[in-house]
Amino acid sequence: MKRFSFVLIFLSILFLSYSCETTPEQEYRKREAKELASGVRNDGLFLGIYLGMSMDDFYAHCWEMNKKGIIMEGASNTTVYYPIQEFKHPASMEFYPSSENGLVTAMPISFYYDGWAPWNKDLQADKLILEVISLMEEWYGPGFTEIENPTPVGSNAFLKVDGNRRITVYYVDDSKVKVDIVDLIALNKSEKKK
Amino acid sequence: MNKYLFPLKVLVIVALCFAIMPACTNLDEELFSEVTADNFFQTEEELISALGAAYTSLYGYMGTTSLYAAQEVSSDEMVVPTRGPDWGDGGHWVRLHQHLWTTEDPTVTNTWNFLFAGVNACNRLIFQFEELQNPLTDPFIGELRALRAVYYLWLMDLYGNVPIVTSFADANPTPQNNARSEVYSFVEGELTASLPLVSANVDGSTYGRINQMVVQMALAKLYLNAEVYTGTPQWQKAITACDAIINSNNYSLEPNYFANFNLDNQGSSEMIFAIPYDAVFAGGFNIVMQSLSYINQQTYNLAAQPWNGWCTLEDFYNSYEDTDLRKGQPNTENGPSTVRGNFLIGPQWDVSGKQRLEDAGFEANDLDGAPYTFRAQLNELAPNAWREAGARVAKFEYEIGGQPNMSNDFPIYRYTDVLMMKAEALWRINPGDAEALGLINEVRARAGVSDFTELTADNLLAERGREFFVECHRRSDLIRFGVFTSDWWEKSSPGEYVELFPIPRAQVDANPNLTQNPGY
Repeated sequence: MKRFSFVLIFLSILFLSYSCETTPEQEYRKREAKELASGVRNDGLFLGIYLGMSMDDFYAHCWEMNKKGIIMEGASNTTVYYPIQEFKHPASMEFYPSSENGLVTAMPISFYYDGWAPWNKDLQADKLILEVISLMEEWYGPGFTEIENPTPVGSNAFLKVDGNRRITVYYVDDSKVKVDIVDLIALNKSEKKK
Repeated sequence: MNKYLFPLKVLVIVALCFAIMPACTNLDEELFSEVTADNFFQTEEELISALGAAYTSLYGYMGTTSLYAAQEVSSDEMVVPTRGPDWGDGGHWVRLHQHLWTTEDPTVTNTWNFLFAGVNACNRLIFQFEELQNPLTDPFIGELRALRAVYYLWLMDLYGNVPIVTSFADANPTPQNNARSEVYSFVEGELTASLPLVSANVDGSTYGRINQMVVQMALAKLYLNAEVYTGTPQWQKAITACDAIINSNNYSLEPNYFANFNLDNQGSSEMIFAIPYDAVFAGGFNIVMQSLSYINQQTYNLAAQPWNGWCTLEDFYNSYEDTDLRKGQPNTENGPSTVRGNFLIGPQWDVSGKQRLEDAGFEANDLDGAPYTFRAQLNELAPNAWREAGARVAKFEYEIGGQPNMSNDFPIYRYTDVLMMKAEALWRINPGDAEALGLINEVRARAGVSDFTELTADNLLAERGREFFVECHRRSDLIRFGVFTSDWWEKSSPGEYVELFPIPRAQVDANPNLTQNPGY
């Protein structure tokens, strides 16, 4: 009986230990589930824009900011352009939200240094991403997890899940860093519909 | 014995726990499906796949404030009026039209960034391919050198004196400008050197990619504008490059001009170098949104409301004869036109063609009240151009139910331009050249208009305008014909210095060795 107990305890621990060896995706899913289970909503984005904002309000708000010269149209007229003052070098961000049922559900943002050129090594995306992370921490608080980039190009990505809000920061190319902010509740609802 | 067994059990369990506990925190995963330098770039297919990064940079060509705007809105064929609250944008569209751009204007900055991003993508791939020391990469390196030369051709055309950067890993962090003539020599040398390295195939395998015909076309463009770039004309070299394309027999004039601009225009017999845009996978071509009015969402059942902006100038619209098939026929009060043209003009209709579109909130000074009617006439440039002012762009087929991004391929180089460039070069050498006249009349015949009896600078330039409307050649053509600084509607010239755009201020600020172009 005692031998049986010993084996049982050992196998249980072994099982628990192996089940503990999760993939990064599983680890992320656990974290996402925990954050969603907390019931905390974090909808704030930037410039007075928020997840769940109606697109009509978004347009009206942007129109007012445009009239004040705070924002302009982006490079392809499909994004909003906003100059960044907080970085060591002049930089810009461009954004335009995704929506569902007329409400903002996600906000992809592109960052780049205005003076980027192939020769400006201080203005490449591997430097920019560090400043973007600092800005994101200033806006949304600390707690970004670094995710290793297995490819030979670019730099690591960063992730934070904060209640319903997921923020991903990653390298796009030598000049651009992208931030994707997603309302996980809206995203999950949308995926269930599919 | 038992009294020793329990502590031993505990010890073993604790030891095992410690032994396997790191698994709880080790989130590293061995990946077998990821792309790394060690497991990729091994076969020709993988190299072609990697090469794609250099071509995806081209998607920015038609960006609203990119090369397309620089070539079109600075010319006499396109304008973006400020229509009340729309398209004010800090006045940069008006400045672009009036040649009063600043070193910080978005078209100046974004075009530079688009072009150098392309150069950088080529440099990075050349560096990665050279690292492999694999003979398989030689033709791809040649292809990338040619593509980089094309980016530099555009940079030289727009900005003149730009730094030549060919190294990815060891680029000089503060390069000086190279003189325009040096950039010219670099482009010529790179195109010439890459010519025997790139594919001679003209088929699906090289569609949208650099092949020998694209290199010849880039050389023809370079030589046709050589006098602008260096002060020394190279007409005969331009003819030689055009002849290489003509005599290859790979291309022919499409019987129908609009076959070049259809949704499925990838099959056009004129397409030498195209950007294979796609509404889903290769976005960036959205002239449907830029030009049409909000109300035209109903004309094409579009997924989104267009932005009511870009239109042509009245004089340019009127430069077409009414019988010119490229002009098409305007819509009438009886229904939409059944003769397609470069323009959407006249009364606007819904997708059924039966419902006249109306704007209940029409402007007080609207000429016909609620009915929505595009007119060639532009009442003013800013701030209150009529919402309905200006003939809209309809050269590219608009898809019924289309998305904001279009799926038509964009012709960077097409065969008609080869014929017209050769004609121009022949005419420059001998204004009475019969072959030159014949080539131009071949193009005119397709457009359904009568032959010219002679070629002049005026009729040659005007013909190029009518043929290549919205194909991003107009600014360069106007400069080559010496009339870019002439006056046109709501625009007088501040001086010849505007034939080059300024180097963006952010670039000059970031690199003290860069010298601004004269006049800025």
